[in-house]
Amino acid sequence: MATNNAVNFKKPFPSFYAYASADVANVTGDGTVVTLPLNSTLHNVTTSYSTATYTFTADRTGKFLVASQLFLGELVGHSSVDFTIVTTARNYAVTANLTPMASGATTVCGFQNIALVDMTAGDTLYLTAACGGGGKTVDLIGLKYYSYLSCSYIG
Amino acid sequence: MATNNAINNPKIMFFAYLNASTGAVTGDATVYSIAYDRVLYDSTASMNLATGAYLVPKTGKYFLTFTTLLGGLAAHTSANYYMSVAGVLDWNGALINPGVVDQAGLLSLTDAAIVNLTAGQSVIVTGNVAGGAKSVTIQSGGAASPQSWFCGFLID
Repeated sequence: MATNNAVNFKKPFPSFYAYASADVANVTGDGTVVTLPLNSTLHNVTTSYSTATYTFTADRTGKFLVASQLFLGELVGHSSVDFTIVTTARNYAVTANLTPMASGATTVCGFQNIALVDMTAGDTLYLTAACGGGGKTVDLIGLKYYSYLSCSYIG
Repeated sequence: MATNNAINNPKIMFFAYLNASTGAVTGDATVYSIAYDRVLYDSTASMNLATGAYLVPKTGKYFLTFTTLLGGLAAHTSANYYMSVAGVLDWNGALINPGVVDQAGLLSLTDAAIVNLTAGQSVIVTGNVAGGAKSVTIQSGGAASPQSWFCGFLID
């Protein structure tokens, strides 16, 4: 009998927080679309997130809350950023094309992407980033609190 | 017997997005509330697809988030979009006013919050862009690539 409307902890459900363990140099800047190489996790309850492929595979059908962040460094006059949650069914993109994006070798810009995504068992989810308008000099800023992908099954 | 292992009964959740282009709706400080015209899912059919308002179906704490992609920006000086319960509360929302918001067209604004809502209240995403001409659009996309969306779920 379904009676409560809160969180039931009896069985584990997919939930993870993935991040890049270190900065990754020169991943984009010339429009290259890069899958964010988030190679470490703080938690990965059902091990459904792969630190080898940087991809989450849904083990059940439902809605998943995704909260993610991208930090890019060494922006030098670049003019666009697309930061996308990619699922099998859809792309959820945030976009900025400030001109110029930044003008210094030490400049860092952060972007957030949050969505309640629908997935079918077996569907995949990962993050991509594409920065354009300049050379392929833009770095992915790593460590736990800069670029990350967090996700939990909601129901 | 409740058998699922996440936030369960009732599963109140929704995802609305803008499918049709708005045309130029702000840029000169005109306030424009986004009239989401499609849903991917809406478990209680609470989204008004004429106005874009989400009618809260049950009192409780909700997680809400939106992303709004602005187009047609041309040296505007501020952009502010936020979630609002008319006459009750406006959440601060996403605000940017660095002098010149954009010189090349596109900018996404995102915000999220966990909020107490009362059944019967209506939540909208509203705001404006200022400092320039009324040239700013709310960008739309289909179900495979939504560009401006508003979604959430009841926590408890």
